Amino acid sequence: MTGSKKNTRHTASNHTSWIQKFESSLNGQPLRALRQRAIADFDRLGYPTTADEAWKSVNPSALIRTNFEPAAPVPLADAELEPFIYPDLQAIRLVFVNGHYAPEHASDIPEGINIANLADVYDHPLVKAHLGKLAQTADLAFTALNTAFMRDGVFIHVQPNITVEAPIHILFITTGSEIPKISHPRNLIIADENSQLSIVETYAGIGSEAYFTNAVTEIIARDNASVNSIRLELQGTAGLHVANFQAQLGRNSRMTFHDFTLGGAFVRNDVSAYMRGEGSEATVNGFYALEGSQHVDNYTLLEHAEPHCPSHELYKGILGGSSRAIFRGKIHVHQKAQHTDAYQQNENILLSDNARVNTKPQLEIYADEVKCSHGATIGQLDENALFYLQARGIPKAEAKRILLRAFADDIIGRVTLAPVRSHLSDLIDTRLEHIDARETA
Amino acid sequence: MLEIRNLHAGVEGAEILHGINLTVNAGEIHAIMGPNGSGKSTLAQVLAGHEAYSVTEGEVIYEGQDLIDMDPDERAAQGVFLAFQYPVEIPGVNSAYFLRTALNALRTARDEEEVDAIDFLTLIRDKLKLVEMDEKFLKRSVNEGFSGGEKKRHEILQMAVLEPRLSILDETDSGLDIDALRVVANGVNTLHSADKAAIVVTHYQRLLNNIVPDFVHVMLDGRIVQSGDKTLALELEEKGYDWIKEEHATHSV
Repeated sequence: MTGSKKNTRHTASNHTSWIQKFESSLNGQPLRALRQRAIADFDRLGYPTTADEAWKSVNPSALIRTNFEPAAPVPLADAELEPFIYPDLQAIRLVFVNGHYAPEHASDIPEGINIANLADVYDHPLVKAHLGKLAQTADLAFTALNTAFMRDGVFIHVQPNITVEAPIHILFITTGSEIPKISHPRNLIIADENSQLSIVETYAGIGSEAYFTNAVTEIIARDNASVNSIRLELQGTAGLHVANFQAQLGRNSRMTFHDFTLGGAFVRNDVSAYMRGEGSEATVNGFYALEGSQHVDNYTLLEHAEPHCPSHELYKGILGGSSRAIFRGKIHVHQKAQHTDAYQQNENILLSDNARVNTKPQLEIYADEVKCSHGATIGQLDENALFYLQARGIPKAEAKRILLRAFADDIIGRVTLAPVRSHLSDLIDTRLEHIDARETA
Repeated sequence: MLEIRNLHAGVEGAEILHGINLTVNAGEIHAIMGPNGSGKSTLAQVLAGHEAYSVTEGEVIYEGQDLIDMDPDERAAQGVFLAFQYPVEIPGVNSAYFLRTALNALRTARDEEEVDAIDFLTLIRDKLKLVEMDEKFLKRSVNEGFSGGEKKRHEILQMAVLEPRLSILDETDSGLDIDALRVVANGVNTLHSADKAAIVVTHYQRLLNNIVPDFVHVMLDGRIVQSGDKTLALELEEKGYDWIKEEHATHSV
């Protein structure tokens, strides 16, 4: 215990020295107070240890003990971006390399929508009013760290009654280097009354070196707004990825979020939807396919604060090797939130004897008239279904692929942007083949 | 076509089949009857190659080849088909995709060209008529939410698409109403020909009114204890299995 605490302090003080350097470079810029509060919170919290309820199963300080350095911008050729771009998606695209905005890779931005690199709009009244309001730093060490060090990322503001036809694709790429790098992408998205937009966040790594991406995304969907969000995590094999996604929903607004976790050595996703307006609806779905010694945590929170809000949550995972997944889904129904209709499900297939899943639903219900259901399954591939397919002439490897694919399709099929769906479909096919090949090798 | 010699098989060390002998020639329909637990379904599963069962002794020769060493998909490619007693539900895999993938897997194994989606649709429409199934079934997940009768008709639909040489029907009549029974039997009869054979595993005689067997075998405690023609089935219907159990018990003393 004492040993790990000492270690935490050591690493934290390392970051304190960074912020001194960082702050002097800020020179009285805005957000100074926010950053100072954040670093104070981080200094108090330290890196989480297994003593923290939310980090019980993994000791992140062991993973993060590496002395990560802030990453420098690196020019990237178009060809290097290609694997992460959806060929048929007519998107508004913003690219960040090693945490730095790369305007040379950005597409033209149409009129009627305000999209900018966050670092360029710190003094925008909406940024001043909302940045850090949803993603609080008091309890979340990594969010505190992000808030202290954030610089680039996207700021999106959609005016009332505007439908942004083209999806916005935000691509964060980290390149490999001998010195492990850290970056803190930060996004703030505000969809005004009755507006609509689609966002695709991609986090990817090039190379096999260790690095750390610590991202925070805040989304505000005002009354009657509709936000369709997809996140794809394709970090490199030694990449560490911690991401906090928080959305707030106004009256009769809708938010759908689809989270695909395929890469990274250690991934921690915190996803929360705060239904603050009556009749708002949140859909939060996720899929993970893991191999080797990958470790992925999905912590979700659906906060029902107002009446008549439905929420739908389905997370599915396929695990090979000695990989490990944790799912914790919390549904919190406030006393006021009558007629809540919340559904949560987590399903897992283990392809290997050494893979492990911990799944934990948590329902906290303070209202009387609610419909809440949840369920979880952990099992192997259905042997009877395999035999049935084989008995019809389908070779075992293909039969397995068909069953795994059908399991994944349940999530992929819910993605409404067709070019993203088809790209994901190919990516996941390749991924499943790779995982299965390692199991049968 | 099929020669089963002294077949011993079981599951997890417990022997269920204690020496089965059976010869099936092209053009023949064999009925295997017997009370519950006599090993009928085990025999069907062993012939199809279910991994849970292991063969400990004897051999199964199909078209001059040893069937036991083949994977289930290889057996299917050789023309062996099992109509399941309990067809498996496969969520997320629609019937059309399943049938076309199976047909193309067989065709690939036989070095034949794959059937494209359009040709497949023409082919399947024809087969659907045979089992009186609606095209809408093709869009549904395999067996998911199907009624008992729909599942069994779906089995015969697969048989019609895959055109096996040796069909093993495992209790295909169980859970069927009289109309579904007629449809299933009509399907099996239509698909039968001089170069094909069928083994019909059943508990009751009623299916055999519609699918008339050339031979009837009675299984008891993992052995075929009596064989005869279709009149044996009628005798069993009338007198039940007890007399045969008694007779067998006396004989083995």
